[in-house]
Amino acid sequence: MDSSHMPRRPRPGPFDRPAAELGHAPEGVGRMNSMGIGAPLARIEDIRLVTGNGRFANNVTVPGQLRGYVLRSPLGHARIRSIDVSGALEVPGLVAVLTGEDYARDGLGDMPCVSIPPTIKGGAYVPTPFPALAVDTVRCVGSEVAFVVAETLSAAVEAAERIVVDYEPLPVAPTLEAAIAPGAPLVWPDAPGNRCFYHELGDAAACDAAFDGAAHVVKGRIRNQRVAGNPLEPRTCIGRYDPADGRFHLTSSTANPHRLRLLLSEHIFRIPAHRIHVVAGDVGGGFGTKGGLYPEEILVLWAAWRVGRPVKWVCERSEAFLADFNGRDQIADAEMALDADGRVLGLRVEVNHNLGSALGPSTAHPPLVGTRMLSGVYAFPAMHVKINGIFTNSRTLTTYRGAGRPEATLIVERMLDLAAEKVGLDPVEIRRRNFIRPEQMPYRTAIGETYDCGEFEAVTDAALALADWDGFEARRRTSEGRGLLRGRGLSCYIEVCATLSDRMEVRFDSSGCVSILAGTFSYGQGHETTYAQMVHDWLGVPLDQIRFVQGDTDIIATGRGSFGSRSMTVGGSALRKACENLIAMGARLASLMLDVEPEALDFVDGSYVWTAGDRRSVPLTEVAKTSFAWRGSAAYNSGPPRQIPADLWSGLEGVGHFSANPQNYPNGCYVAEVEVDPETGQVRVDRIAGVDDVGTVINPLLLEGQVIGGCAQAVGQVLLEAVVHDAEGQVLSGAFTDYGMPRAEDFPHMVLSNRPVPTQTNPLGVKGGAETGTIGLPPAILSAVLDALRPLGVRDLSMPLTPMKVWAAIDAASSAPVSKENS
Amino acid sequence: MIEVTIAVNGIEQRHQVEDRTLLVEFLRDQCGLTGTNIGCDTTQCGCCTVHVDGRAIKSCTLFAAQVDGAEVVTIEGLGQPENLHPMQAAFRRHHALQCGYCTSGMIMQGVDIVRRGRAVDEATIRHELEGNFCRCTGYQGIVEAIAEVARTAPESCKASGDAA
Repeated sequence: MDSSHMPRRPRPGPFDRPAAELGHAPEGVGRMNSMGIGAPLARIEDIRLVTGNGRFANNVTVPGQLRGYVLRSPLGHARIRSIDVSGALEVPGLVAVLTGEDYARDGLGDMPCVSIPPTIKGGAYVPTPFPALAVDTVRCVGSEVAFVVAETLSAAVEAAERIVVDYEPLPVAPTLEAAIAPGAPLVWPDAPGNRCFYHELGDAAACDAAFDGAAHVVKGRIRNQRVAGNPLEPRTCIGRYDPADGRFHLTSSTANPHRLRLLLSEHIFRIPAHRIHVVAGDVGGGFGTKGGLYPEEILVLWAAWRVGRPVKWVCERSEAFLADFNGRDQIADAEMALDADGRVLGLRVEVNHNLGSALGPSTAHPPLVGTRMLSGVYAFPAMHVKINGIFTNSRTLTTYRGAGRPEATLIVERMLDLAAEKVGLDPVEIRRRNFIRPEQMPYRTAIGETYDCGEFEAVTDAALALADWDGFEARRRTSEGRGLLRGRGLSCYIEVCATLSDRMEVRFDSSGCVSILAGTFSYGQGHETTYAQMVHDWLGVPLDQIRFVQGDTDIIATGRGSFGSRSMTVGGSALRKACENLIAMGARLASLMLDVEPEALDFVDGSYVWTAGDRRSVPLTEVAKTSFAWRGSAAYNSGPPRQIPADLWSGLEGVGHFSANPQNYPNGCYVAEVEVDPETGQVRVDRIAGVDDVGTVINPLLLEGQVIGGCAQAVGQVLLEAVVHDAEGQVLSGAFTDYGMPRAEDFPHMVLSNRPVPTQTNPLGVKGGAETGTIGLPPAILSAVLDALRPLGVRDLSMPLTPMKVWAAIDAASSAPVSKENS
Repeated sequence: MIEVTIAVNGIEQRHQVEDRTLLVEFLRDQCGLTGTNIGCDTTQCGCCTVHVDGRAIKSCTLFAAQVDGAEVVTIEGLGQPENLHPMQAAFRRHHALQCGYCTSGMIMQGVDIVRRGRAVDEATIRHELEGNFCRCTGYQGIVEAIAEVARTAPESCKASGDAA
């Protein structure tokens, strides 16, 4: 290729940025695509984040902004007799106090639930009115009762303290256990048994037959506790109404700006979507909990419209423990039937999932999506699953990293451990006897999920080798010498990833630089880097000439955000199509420039080349610049000047769409080793090793970060975290002082590896990689702790495995009669 | 109201503030330095960690008036996009951040750990990080980054008042 056709780098000027800033190259980089797909590239977005230049919502101050404060219910369940705001109105700086009556009078809609499909077996579900401010009843501590707007936050807080709400307390069912008990108080009068919906999977008759012929049946109750997502950035939003154009403008820490626009337009304000503008800058984590609509996002917009000034609301951390939607919270009763050799014949599961007191947008996802994965990586011939969505007087449930899949994995893996003990098999061996084999792919499970690929035994063997499974005994003896009990556990998982459609756009500017306009939304995942790596590979544009844009509904045509590990699959595949479409468009202009038919041109290393001819070529970036040429002449080198047709004369761009149908199935195996101090009940996770199959790896550095981060949340859930209510529905875990957030000391150095089996279900061969640890690791840790405690007679424990709980279990087992211990 | 003067990143900042104004509020609201983040209300998370007279301190724990006359360094004063401090560069290299919200505090804490000579091994670094939460990374990259700076550029973490 003629080097004069390479994108020309101007001499460094005063406005140039150092190249190292953008696209830090790993050691020894020579070829351009060593920064492309598969390279462990350090992140582009880090430059602003490590220097304190993050664009978080709380860093935005709008001229004239007021502060909003939410007065919340102090009771778990109560009727509101009256609200007296007169005291609040006297506070200097107060601008407005809004209540549920105002909300109803202004005709705003309810928070919608868009996660219950009409196909559920139980027929119609019980819908829940969910205005952003409670109207006559509060159903959980933290329910929004009034929105106070003032010149300063302190004035708003003071005014809120002067509001007198007369509550008539009602009976409370704050937990699943309380809500499913016979005679439990009803959260909603029209939901008997507090059941919102019922659904079934599998074949009850086939499952019954399997149990009839079983040599062994094991039963278990598996409790998956409620946890708080706790992204470190508290939720923040700023609402503004512009009477000049009649538009609502929202800046939010949301993880899904386009979904917000859709829900606000369709369900809340019932106005055209173009009258709502949502912007999200950098978002400080979300893990699923920031992806739906929250009442405060409605309140700031509505209040701004009412008072004619912008309104900002910032959640306090302790408030977040009441106001953020929670994750997990399930009781599963399971029965597993096996033959004499430990082959599973059937699995029955009945799940009760805590939906909280009112349905939010994603509330039903965890119970309905997670249960689809109850066959795990195993060939269970018969299954029957019953799913009950249960109301309680607690905060709304939403998706939290894994969203139902961690619950399902814990059920399957725990039941296999119980079965192994009953049949007298090693936990590895019972899994070997039940794995779905590669030659069975594609495999349709007994509950209707079709896995396209996966090598489950091989990935398990890789994990066992990485974890030095066979070297355990020596480590156990060493621990024993120090008075500690060592245990090991393994867990195999599979999950379902990538959903819905998305849209990506690549657009050149007049200087030959390219912008990626993403329909997905990154809030820590690093898309600014991974998508740039893809475009760098596919278009041959240097990384520092690629810009990434997301999160503004006025700039990005449409999008569905990032959740369920969908972005590399759906966003990446759509981006690939966008690049292909752009290359095809550019080929027509290159054809004019080179005087060669477009079909005769190949796209090689960022240039159009007449490989079948004299190898004349033109770089894509030159074609892109030509598409902006002021006079519309496509003259290039010594070629004849040609008039550029209109459709190629206003810039070079490509739009791509992709929908993940079928979805993909990341899988893998995790191994944990723990040490338990029998004197104190303290559990220390000593070793974590895991091997994942997430298909093609775009950036191994970022993938490992996702996996380790997921594992950290798994350790947190198994050992430390729980949202705890008392009998009245008060949240006892209401601050970082009371909620067990995992710290650096709670983790060992994790050892992780990949064993990709690329999927054919998308053009990149990727599978989701962001939730593997949270889904796969918890059962391994629980199993390891029970393994450590087996000599003491402890047979079961429920998460979190706090020192107190473990110590109490040891104490109870040691004081139990010997005969019972041996039963 | 009270007048408070603090040298922030080498620039004298004199502002009239309410007595109850926290240092973090002074930095964010009066000085416009929003790189220091607020993650909790109980001094647990460490997102707001800055250096006061060379020592890492959670700026939500102090009233601005308490540090009147002090020298404060925030993340903005540590290094800039075109001139990263070795700790900032190491955080990037080791993928020690994802959402980036805890990062300012983590980096300031990391510098302090190295300055105090406490980055001696992985276990000690993990213990020293007990006052800083990260929800994204599992801390592994953070520990690696701090260990690397302690190994390769410990002098970069010295405060102005430290002995050479």
